[in-house]
Formats: sequence, C-alpha cells, structure tokens
Amino acid sequence: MEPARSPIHRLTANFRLFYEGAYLSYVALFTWFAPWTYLASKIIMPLGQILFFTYLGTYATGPASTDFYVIGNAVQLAAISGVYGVTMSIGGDRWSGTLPYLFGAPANRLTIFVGRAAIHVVDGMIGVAFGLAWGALLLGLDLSRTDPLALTLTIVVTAFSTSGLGLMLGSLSLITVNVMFVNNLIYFMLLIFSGSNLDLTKLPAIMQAVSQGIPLTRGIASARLIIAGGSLTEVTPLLIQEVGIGLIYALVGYAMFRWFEIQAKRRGTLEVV
Amino acid sequence: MAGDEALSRADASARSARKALARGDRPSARRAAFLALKSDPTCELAWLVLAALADPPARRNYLEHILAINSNRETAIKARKVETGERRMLDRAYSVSRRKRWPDDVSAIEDTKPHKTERIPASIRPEGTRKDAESAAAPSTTSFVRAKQNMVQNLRVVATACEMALKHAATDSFIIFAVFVQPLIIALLGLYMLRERGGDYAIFVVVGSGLTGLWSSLLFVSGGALNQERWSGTLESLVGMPTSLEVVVFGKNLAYVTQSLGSMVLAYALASLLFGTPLRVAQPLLFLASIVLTTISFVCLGLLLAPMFVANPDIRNFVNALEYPMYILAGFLFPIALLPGWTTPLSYVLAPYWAAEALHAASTGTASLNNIALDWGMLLVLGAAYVLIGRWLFRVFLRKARQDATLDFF
Repeated sequence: MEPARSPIHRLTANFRLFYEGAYLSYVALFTWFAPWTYLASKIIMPLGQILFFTYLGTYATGPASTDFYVIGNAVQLAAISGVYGVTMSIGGDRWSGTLPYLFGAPANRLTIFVGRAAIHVVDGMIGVAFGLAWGALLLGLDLSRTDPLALTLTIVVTAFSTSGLGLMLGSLSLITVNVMFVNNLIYFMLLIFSGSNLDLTKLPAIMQAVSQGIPLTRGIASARLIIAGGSLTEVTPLLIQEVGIGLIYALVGYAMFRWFEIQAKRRGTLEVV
Repeated sequence: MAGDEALSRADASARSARKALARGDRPSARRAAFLALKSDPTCELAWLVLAALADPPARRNYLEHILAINSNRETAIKARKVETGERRMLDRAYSVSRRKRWPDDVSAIEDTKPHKTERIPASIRPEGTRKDAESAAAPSTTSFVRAKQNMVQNLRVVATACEMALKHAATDSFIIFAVFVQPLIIALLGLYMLRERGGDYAIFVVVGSGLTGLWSSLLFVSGGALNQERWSGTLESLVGMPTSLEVVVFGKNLAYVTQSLGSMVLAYALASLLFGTPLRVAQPLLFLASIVLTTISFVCLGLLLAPMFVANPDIRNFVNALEYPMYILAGFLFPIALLPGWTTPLSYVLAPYWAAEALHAASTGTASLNNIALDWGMLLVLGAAYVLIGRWLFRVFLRKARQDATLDFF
C-alpha cells in the first residue's frame, strides 16, 4: 500500500513533474534544433510575415498605418509557439507512441497537460519581442512612448492566451490525423480575425463576433494602445479578458484531454486513433 | 543451304536463351545466346538476351551493337525498351519480333550482376560490321533515333510522375492547404485590405494570391515530394533508375504548379461571391499565354529548388523562411517600388516577378505588347537558366550523396 504523502510532498512532486514535462516537451519538439533551423522558423519567417503584411498594408492605406501592421503581426507571432509549439508538444506523444504510457502513468494529468505549454509561453514571448525589434529596426516602429512593464505584461498575457488555444488544439490533435491542416488553418485565420491586419470595426458583424471569441484580439489591441502611449490602467480590462479567454480554451482543452483518455481506456484504443 | 542451317541453329539457340532467361537460369541463357551468335553473329534476339542479362552500362553497349547491326525503327524501339527494363515494354518489344512473350521474371533482368563473359567475344563479333558503308551511317541515325526515343521516354515519365503526384495531392491535407486554402485566406485578407484602393483591386488580388499559391506549392509540396520519397524509401530507386531524377521532379512540379492554378479560380469565385465585385480579365489572350509561360517558369524554378532537398533533408525546416520573401520580392500583391532600391536586382532574377508583371498587366488591361513581350522573354530566359543550373546542381548533389552514402538520411 502506498504510503500517504504530505501536501508539501505532493506539491513538490507535481512541480517537478511540471518542470520536467515542460522541459522535455520542448527538447522533444526541437529534436531538429540547429541554429539555422531555429533562425529560419523563429526569426526569419516572422520577419518575412511582418514585412509582407506591413508593405501590403501600407500599399493599401498609406505609410501612416505602418505601426498598425507592424504591431499586429509582431504580437500575432505569439501564435507560432502557442498554436504550433503547444499542439505538437501534446500531439507528439501520439506520434512517438508514448501516449499509452502517459495515460497509464499515475501522474497528475493537469500538471502534465499545462506543463506542455509552459515553455511555449516563454518561447512565444521571445518571438513577439523579436517581432517588435524587427519593427523598430527596419520599419521605424516608435517605442519611445511605450510603458515597458505594461507591454511586457501584454506580451505575457497574449502568449498565455494563445497557448490556451494551443492546448485545446493539442487535445484535438489526439483524435485527428490532419494536425498540421488544423494548425495552419487556425494560424492563418488568426491573421484575419485577430485584427492583426484588418480594422475589425470594418468587418461584417459575424466576423467581429468571431474576433471577440478568440485569443490575440485583445492582446493586439492592448499592444497598439500601449505603444501609442497608453497606460496599463487603460488596457487592464482588455488584458483580464484576454487571460479569461486563454483560461477557457485551456480548460476546454483539458476537459477534452481527460475525456479522450477515458474513452481511449474504455474502448481499448489508447492512442485515440 | 549451309547458311540457312546456321541461321536455323542460331534461331533455335536464341529461343533456348530466351526460355532460360524466362526461367531465371542466367548462365544457360548466356551460353545459349553465345551459341546462337556463333552460328549467326547478327542474331538480334541473342543480342537482346545478352543485353537483358547485362548491367546497365554493359547493356547499353550491347544495344548499341544491335542497332549497329540493324538500325531500323523496330529494332531501335525494342532496344530502347530493353534498356529501360519495363515489363510491358519488354512484352511489346518481344511481340514485335514474332515471339510470344518476353521473360516473365523481369526482375531477373534488372538485378543481373556484371559478368566478365558479358564482354562481346571477339570470335562472334561480326567482322567489319561497323566498318562497312551501311553501318558507317548508322551512328548518326542511331543517335537521332535515340534522342527522339529519349524525349518520348522522358515525356512518358513526366506524364506518369505528374499523374502520380496529382493522385497523391488529392488526398494529402497539407497539400490541399498549401495549394487551395492558404491562397484563399491570403485572397480574403488582400481583398479586405486593398478594397479602399478601388479600381481593379479585386482582379489584382485574385491574381496575386493565386501566385502566392503557386510559390507555396512549389516550395513546400514540390520540395517536400522528394523528402516524401526519402521517407517512403523510394528515393534511392528513383535516383538509380535510368531516367534522370530531374525528369521525375519536372513531372511532379508540373502537377503541383498546374494544380495550384486552381487557387486562382477559387479566389476569383470568392471575390465574386463575397464582395460582389465584377471581375474581368481585360486581355484574356495575353493572360492565357502568360499563364502558360508562368507555369513553365515555375516548374523550371522547382528544378533549382529540388537538388537542395536531395542534398540536405533538413532544408524542409528552412523553407518556412523562404515563403514570404518571394511574395515580397516578386511583387505578388504590391509593387516592388515600395521596397528599398537594393532589392530590385533580386526581383529581376526571379521568374515569379516577371510572371506577376505579365499576369497583373494582362488582367488589369495595362499590358502593351512590348512590355509583356519583355516579361515573356524573361520568363523563358530565366526558366532555361534555372533548368541548366538545376541540372548541374542535381549532378553535383547526387554525386555527393552517393559518395557520402547519405541519400536516405533524414
């Protein structure tokens, strides 16, 4: 019979599980890790996206709107880690055949589940920081009126909320073989609905409604306000809503994860294929 | 009469050689073939059997010898078909020479190892065959026939690769996304972003987003196709077969690029339905000609990219970084005049830039014959340059992959 554990012991064990899960999921995801590959995926590709949409936007509406597109696309880059990174960290267990072991382990599921996203929140923040740096260096983004603390908080919150979406998509990746199709679709839809490249007020009502129900929308709006000289107080409601949306997606994702686990065990299809 | 007897003996021996080959008894087949050639050094079937038994380089020598003996079209076709080692082709080749069937075990032909006795014995070499006046003319005829047959063969391979690639693409969700969905989303974005510009913005976006589809498809799908072969373990076979790899890649590229033209049609429909914008291609004939040249130049550009995938499987992780730069430098959705001046020469060496110029001009009705002729000329010149450089790269990288034994590494 397993000896009873103290709450502190359980907490320590869960923390260790969280840390190891987070670290290993990142290491596993980047087995291909090499300087050039990382540069291509996390620095050059995002630069290409920012340049393309900024030039397209300024061609459409004039050079005065450059900041609008630079900020929108820089913050939207959080979705690279949030959507692709988190989804592949969770889905990776299925592809590498370790999902049955995971479902068979007595470890705390929530800790494992959330741990998969933790490093990608940090990675997403780094991605956004690089994006803004490209904007400042190459496209004249003016950060002189920016409150750095408020901007950092906005980036953290946005990276968290997109990782919440990633957790939900990661759970979905356990029951679909078209993981990359779904990821790509969501990533590109975010380019439309998050307001990174469009003025949401000019979209049809139904598209605006979709925008309000996804992560990033409020994060991007907050970043634009803060870089334009706004204060943390002004954007606090937006950030709270952004956190709330991220939590909802993460919880839905976790519920799906547990449900898939139960179904897999019940049906004897441990890989939920 | 003695001559007739010798011919008859040769024919009988050649038939035994064929039967032995069909059984997979290669030593007997070889012996019988040599026996036939002792009786009749010009016995075509015996030479064909020896060619079938030989490894590819030696096989070519045998086949050249057969063509030197008899350079008529029928013989040339049979020789070529033996050279390619295709089962159906062998059957057909055989039926031409009045025999019922070619050996059942074609694999026995393919995996035949070099043998020292495969050198043409001097005793049966037809004396003066290559020296007489008739045969002296044969090499030029032969090379012409071979060039023609090579072209036909390559076209057949292109068609087959194209067909297979299209079948594969129809069921691969990643390809469907890259070819159809992503260009549609970019079209939707472009339509919303550029509608304030008015004028011909819709057709401009439709064409531009279609071009993004062409490029993404070329970049991800065509390049990825070689990695797919690598993962399936078929890349080595492709590299090892007599048809050169670039011909297969050409066929695959043709399929994907042609298929992604459909994204332009979808974007056209989307713009019409969602925005109710009247869409009209102002100069349809020029547009059509530009589409054809665009397709060719993109396929040729794919030949430049594919060797990189042969050389380094990890390049698939790098292609993500190449997608947007082409959208920008080629001016798919905005003029390159917006970019810094130093980027202009880069745009000029990219066929997609000239394709975008030609298609935008023809679709919006701003094309003059002089300007569009320049675009077309550049598409052809750059396409030819890509093919030449691509062929050289294929040779270099394939040689390196063979030397390092890294072809199937991933």
